[in-house]
Amino acid sequence: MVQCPNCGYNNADNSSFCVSCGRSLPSAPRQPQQQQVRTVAGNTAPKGGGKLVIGVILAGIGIFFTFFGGFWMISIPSLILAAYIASQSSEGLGKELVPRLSLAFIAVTIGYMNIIPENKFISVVLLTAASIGIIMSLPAETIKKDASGNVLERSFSGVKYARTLQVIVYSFGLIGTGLWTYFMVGAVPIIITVGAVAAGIVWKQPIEPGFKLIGTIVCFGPAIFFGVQFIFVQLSTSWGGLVSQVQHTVSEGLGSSSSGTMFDMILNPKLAVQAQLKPTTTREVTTTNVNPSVAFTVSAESIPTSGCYDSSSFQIIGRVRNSGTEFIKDLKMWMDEDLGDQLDLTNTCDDIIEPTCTTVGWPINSLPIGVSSSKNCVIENVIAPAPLLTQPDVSPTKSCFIDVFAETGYHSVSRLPIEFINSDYARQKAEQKQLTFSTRPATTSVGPVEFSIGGIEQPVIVSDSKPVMITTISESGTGTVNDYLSAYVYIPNALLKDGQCQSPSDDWVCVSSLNCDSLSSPAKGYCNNFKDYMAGTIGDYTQFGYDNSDDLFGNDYSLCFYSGDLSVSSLIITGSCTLNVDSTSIFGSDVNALRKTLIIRGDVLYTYLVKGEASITVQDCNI
Amino acid sequence: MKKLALLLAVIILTGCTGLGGNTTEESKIQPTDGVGILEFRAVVTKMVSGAYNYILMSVRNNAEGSKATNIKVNLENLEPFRIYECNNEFNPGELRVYNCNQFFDDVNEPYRTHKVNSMFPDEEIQFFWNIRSPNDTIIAGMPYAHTIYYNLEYDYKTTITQTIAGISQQEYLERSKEGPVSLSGQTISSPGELKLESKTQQPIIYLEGSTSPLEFTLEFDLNNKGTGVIKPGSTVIVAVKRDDLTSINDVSAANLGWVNYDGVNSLSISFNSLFPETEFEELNANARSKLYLKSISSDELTSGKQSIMLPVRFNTQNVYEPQRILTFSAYISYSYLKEGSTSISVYPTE
Repeated sequence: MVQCPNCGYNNADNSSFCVSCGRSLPSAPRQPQQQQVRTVAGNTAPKGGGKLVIGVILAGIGIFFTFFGGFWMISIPSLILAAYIASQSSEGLGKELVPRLSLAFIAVTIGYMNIIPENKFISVVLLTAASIGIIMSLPAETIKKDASGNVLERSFSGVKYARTLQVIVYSFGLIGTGLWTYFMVGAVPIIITVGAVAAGIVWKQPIEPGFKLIGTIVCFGPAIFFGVQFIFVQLSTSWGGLVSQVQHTVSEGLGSSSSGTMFDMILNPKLAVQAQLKPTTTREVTTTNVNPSVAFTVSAESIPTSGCYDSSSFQIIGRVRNSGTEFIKDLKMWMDEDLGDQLDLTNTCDDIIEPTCTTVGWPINSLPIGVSSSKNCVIENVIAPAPLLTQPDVSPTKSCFIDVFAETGYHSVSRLPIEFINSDYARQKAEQKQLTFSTRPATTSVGPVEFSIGGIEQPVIVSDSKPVMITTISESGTGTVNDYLSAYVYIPNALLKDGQCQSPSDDWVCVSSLNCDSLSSPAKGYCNNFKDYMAGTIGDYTQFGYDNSDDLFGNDYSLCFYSGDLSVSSLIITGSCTLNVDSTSIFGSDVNALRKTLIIRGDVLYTYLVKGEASITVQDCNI
Repeated sequence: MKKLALLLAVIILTGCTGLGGNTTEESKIQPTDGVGILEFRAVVTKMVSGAYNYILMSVRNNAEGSKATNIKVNLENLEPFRIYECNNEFNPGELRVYNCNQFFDDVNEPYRTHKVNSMFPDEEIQFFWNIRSPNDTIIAGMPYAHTIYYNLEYDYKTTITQTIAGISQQEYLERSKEGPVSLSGQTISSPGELKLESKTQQPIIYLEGSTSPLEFTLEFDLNNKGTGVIKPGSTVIVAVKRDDLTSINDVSAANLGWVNYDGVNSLSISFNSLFPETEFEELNANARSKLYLKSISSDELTSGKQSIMLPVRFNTQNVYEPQRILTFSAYISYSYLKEGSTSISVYPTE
């Protein structure tokens, strides 16, 4: 209560004037504020210097094992624990530095983990980031200046040996990161990473903000320069490769593709196997696909089948049906009189079909599986031949066969893996009755012409032997090989001596570069046909796209062409190549190898013709 | 802190159960195996061309056996597959110049090979390779079945204790009255592929207190009881320690290819390095002086069996017992090679 000095009325404490006489009252004396005591729950334990010690010890263990990369399973957990425990310690530099140092060495250790192919680069990036982080956690130096800008005092906010600490950390950040970068990924990233660390150092200096900004930009200059160069030069010139790399990396990361090594490092393979887990990065094929076949049948008919000279017309219908398992995209169909199959050779059916049906024909560029395509040609009239001598008023009856042809270019392939075995080892296995020999046939693709490679008893004992490879080209379909037939074989260089088969009587001649002019005919022609196939055509057809088999050529393989005539009229064409088998060529520098497989591949290119036929009978109706 | 302790406990326990031996697997190792193969397989057996796969192989040293050394596992016939290691692809036969997995002693071995310098008894190791299947061009765009072999080779040692039963002539005659005398010693072998089987005629019959020693021939068959072969080009060393009551006719023994241990000759030096006293405590200097050594080439053992004979003199001058057991110990060192296979089918991607 406040008593009025004038009337003595007791007014309320917060009154500024007397409610009785109106006189101003003196302000009430303020009572001292009651001190509030708050109790903070938890964290009441003595501040943890012990935790810092534990953190430092664990960090030491982790750093020690970092230098033995295979022990990342020890170093990384140790460093994580060190970072966690030290971060729980008392306030101070250790609380900041130990976790950050631990993170830096975790980054280093990541370089030893096969998580993804670019792990080394990631390690460098993380190490750089961690180094910058450590630098940024250092005590900043403060400078007091007077009004005229003179420096009055430089201090580190009471932190002892801060300058020494700065020098150590800066040295680590610059030299350590730089050296690590150099040894891990090369010379260019060193400029980028050292620049980045230097930017962190600049940022900690007691300089004006404007200078800090400029210094930082300068330090990041190399990163900006190389980054721009990467984007505008490498990215634009190798877009396809980059996309592929990205897909590869992403797919590995997701474990969705057939490649990668992530799983084996995340899970110990032994544990994975024990747990019946399969690495998801390996893809198992669940369906066994069959070799695709390109096949077609041809049929023909005439409507009507008989008529009169000079008055009847015949419609010849040819049909081709896709009877294989592949879409047909390049087929040619045409018709012609079959002079050879005339019933009466004295009466020819020559030139009764329009030239457009015989010479030009009809290209068929779309014939799905199981679908038929029909083409027709009309014979407007058949001119009556000269009358018979015995019957001067009567033209003789004539029967003709009209052939309908369909043709495309074919590519068939054959593959023969040959297994070799070390001679001493083979002798031991044989004595123990653990070795059997057999002549394995080659695997051949589906097609009317089969190119087979064989004649070699396997496993081949690696000594100075000369097994003979037998090649056979045979025809088994209902049609015929037309006038186009070429064959070539990819033979591993290890099986050739001086780049050639070993016997003068061999039928294959090999080249070390695709210079067809260096070959004699007919191999030269087959070589040119191969070049045409590389360009996408077999004969005039593009049904079979080129399969990049020349990837093998020059990559441990030689390309060999048949040196004899590939006669299209022969049902079977055989050839041979005497191979060279010696230990040096087969096993090379892997002197302790006991078994090895080399694959020979043979290809044959040909045009295949299937024929159907219709018949017409024409007679003199004026009798 | 409690959470931390719990985490540590979980890690430790997981490590113990995960890396410790699995007793059910031990049954797969036979007494005739030094180092046994627990599994060899591809993780997937059907794959597309250009894809990745794993080949796994687990081996275990017999718990009752000796320390195995120079353990090498080689994949044979791996090409046209390639090996993916250290983030790169390599030809299987290419020499490894850098090792990403420091659990193995692989450097300067081909990528198709993993090596560890030693395996202690009961130790189990799993090797694995990340392989990449050939591309479509190599398999000519057609399904391709390929057999991959492994070769496990290692140096191993077995010890055999053979007792020979002897009986005095007098005792023999006494017992013969009751029927044929059947008395023979025992053979105790440590695990391993090579075994010694006694062919010595038993019992040997001696004259008690005779000043002239009884001469007899210690006969063994050295038998390969394992599933593999002695490594081609390697040498088997057999050492026999005679009983204290016996001596060896050096000239006759030398004619049969035996060499007396003297610590200096090449066989003695080899034996010392193969059977160090630190590992074989019973082989002190005194015991080594009773050793006779013989080397047998792998070629002599290709049929899996080799007969060994050692002429022995039984010094009976101070023997006045109706029965006497003579104890011979044999130490065998050999390099062994085992082979197996698995198949992978590769299918074209298109």
